Amino acid sequence: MARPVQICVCCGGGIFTTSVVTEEIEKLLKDNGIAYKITPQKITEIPRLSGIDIIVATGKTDAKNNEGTPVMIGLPMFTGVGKEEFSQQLLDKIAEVMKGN
Amino acid sequence: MAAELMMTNENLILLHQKFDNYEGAIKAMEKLAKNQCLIDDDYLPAILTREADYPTGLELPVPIAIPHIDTGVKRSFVSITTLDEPVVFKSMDRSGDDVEARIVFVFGITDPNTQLEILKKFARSFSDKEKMMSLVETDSKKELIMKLNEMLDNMMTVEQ
Repeated sequence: MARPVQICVCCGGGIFTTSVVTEEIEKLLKDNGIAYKITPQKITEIPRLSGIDIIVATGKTDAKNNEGTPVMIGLPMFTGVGKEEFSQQLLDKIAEVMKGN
Repeated sequence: MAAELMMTNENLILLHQKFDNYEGAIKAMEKLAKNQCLIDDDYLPAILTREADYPTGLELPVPIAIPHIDTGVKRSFVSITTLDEPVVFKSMDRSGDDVEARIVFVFGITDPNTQLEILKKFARSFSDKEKMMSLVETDSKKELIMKLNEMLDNMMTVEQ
């Protein structure tokens, strides 16, 4: 069985948007039968996050991860505007990064 | 985990305001929360710094801003200001664009886990153009609270 995908959800303070977006992503992954581990973080931690497959930021950031982990902007999961498109992008990205695992 | 209701009242609401900038709006709303002892002195510098570093403007059908903080918050609350002239906030997304907000929702949050349900309902309501416009247009604080609470499945509690 595939290992769970490791996702970090980051916002300015680790409250509000992170809580809402995390729950939306959990729902999406459960519906798609994808094993996952999601941890909340602050945006300032993005460069230093280690061992993560995908980073979803819910606030403004140009931060890059030191290990080259992709950073996606997950605001659509918060407002619901563009949610379908983002969901598909996230599923595609998961398929991409989990290939070979 | 038990879902917690979020407190507001008419003294946390300002209608048809004008401000030169977003700092003015945040400061005016800080006074309201301070008057009700919902926050302490740590709150204002924390929320201004947060907004500068991680802006909260949302470019929705009715553009809004949602400054929020846990620092210095003694009791969770939501405070709302409607604007006759839009106030510029920076966008929450990566664009750095200006968002000409028509409503400012300030959230004092003590525990995002127990307040998750109400925060989710807010998040889902923000993009409803018709309902958000009715909030911008109302002349009555009482009506604003009533309309908003309908949108939120009555998860706001009104306490004076």
